[in-house]
Amino acid sequence: MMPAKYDTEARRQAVQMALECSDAVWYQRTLKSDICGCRLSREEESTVIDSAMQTAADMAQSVAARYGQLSPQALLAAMNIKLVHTAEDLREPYLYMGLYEPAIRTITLNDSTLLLIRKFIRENGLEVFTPEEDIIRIAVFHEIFHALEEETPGIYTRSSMMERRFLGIFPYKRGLSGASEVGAVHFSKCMAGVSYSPCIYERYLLIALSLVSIDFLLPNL
Amino acid sequence: MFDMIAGILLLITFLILIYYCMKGGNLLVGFIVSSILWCFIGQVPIHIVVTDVFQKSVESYGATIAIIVFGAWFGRILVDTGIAGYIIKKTVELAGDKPLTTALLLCSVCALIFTSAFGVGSVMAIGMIVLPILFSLGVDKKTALGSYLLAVAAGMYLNIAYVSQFFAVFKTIKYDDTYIHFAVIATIVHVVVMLAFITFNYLRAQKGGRARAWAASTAPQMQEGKTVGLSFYCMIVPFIPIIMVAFFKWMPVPAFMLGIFLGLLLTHNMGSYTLAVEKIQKTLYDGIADSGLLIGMLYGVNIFQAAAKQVSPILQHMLGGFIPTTPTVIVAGFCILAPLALFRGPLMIWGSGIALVSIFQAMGLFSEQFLFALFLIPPVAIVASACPTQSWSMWGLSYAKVEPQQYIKTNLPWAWLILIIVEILAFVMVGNS
Repeated sequence: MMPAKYDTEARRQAVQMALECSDAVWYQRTLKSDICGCRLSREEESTVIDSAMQTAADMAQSVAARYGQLSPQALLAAMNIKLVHTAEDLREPYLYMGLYEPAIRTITLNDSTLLLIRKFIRENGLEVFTPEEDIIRIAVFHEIFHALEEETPGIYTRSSMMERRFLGIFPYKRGLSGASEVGAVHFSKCMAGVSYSPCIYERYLLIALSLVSIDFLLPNL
Repeated sequence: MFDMIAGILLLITFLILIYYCMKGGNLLVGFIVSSILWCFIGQVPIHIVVTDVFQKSVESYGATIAIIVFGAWFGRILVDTGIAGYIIKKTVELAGDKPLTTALLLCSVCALIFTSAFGVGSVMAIGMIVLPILFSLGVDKKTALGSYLLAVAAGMYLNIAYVSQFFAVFKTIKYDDTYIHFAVIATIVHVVVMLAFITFNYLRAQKGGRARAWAASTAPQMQEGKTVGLSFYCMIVPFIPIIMVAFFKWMPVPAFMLGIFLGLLLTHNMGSYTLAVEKIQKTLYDGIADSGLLIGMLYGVNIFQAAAKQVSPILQHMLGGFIPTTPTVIVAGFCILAPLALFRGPLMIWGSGIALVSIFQAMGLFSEQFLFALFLIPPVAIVASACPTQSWSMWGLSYAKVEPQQYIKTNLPWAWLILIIVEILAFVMVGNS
């Protein structure tokens, strides 16, 4: 018999709890899992998250003002960005859902991961919290933010916002790719008009692949 | 007349062996079957076949196998104690979010790690850390994979366990100062070309901006647990064996044992007897598993070489008039025909090239140093850098979802350039001594 904590109802409860977490808590996880990140003080972390969220919200407003309320596909057309799909096999531990390549102005959605997430949502009755069709819109908006970053010189999420010292002596400035990710996630949330954090999809994927237990769904664990 | 017919048959079997190797056939099986056929064609007496060809050739390889096993064990220590992950993490932190700088630094560090770490398991385990980092930085998959494999290959000139494999074929060669001097320069050349490869391919792919992906990566979490509590001084561990051999003139096995001991000690794996024993057993087991197939293939090489020695008079009689006898012409031939090392072709010593080595040795016209210098480079510069038949490259291609043709097309021109430079260096610095 399957242990109680792994049944569908338990999963739904765990998801509900996770979705109640604030955006800031989710973004703390995003910064922590930034493969190229560095150790941040609490104050630095909070500043980066607030500034990246503000940048994303401002960007969403400016896009709405410039193009109106468009669907992701219509926005792509307006911005002259191509959308393609791939069904590439999963490449653990690097499981990408969407990719933006500025050189060819193309967003690639990885159907292998997206379908896996959608299946996970269906099988566990999670549509009520995270409708499965949302993920496509969110993934496209996420990558559109990266496209906008390319076109916006000096944008906070691409700036060298961290002051560090090499060998504890020589001062230098560095950026954080995690800040760019926080911005993209937050932008997709604003543009898609969803109330939950899109970061939940990353957790769905890892759980669906049994790379993370449902016990680790909460972002602050 | 007998020599003529036997010579033709030997050449036919040699060509079949080349075809078999290039088609990806199992090398151990290929070498053993070819050895039997060559002994049969050459009418080698049975008591010599069972003693010299199949027994002595294998048992005389014990010393080299010991070095390979300890090298692979040491490689596992670097991975399983988190030292490799720690060094990589610190490198990435230092580089910040600049993809090109990170890729350049990361691959240079990998090249340094692989001057000591050995074994397909180590290449895979470190690749599982490095490749996701490169992908998430927006480096395209063919550049990421190509860079990483060039970095692994760069470490091989100095890698004691790797170079030791050649000592079974070239018995008078030693890992001495002359060799180390050459290997350091060869590594520098290889790394410089690798850096040029990364810069060229990255800039070409990133015209118009930086690629970004939305990915759920487990790599940082996977490494987080292993690297917790490690301190900067554990970064010295990968270089312990090479320092001990190069500067203190230790033999390789004790040098690796010191590295293993310090690796466990500095990563707090000797906190308790149980923990230490568990770690020692696991890493040793994994290290031997990593090197098992390689050892089997090398046994096959030795058997084949012993068989070739028995039929060498026939081969010499047959080919003596065709093969150039001037070293510079042979070196030039190797530089021009370098792609023939691909798919275990005739320039790849750990493939059908072993027959060519045996023919050269049988001719008795070239020194061991010259042949060693000649045949050392293609396996590193061409096969480890651009050939899909290298065991860890097969893993890399499958992991990164890169087509073998794409990999060859991307890496071969650079690998060829490395071969030309390093082959000439080897000829001047090692082959002429």
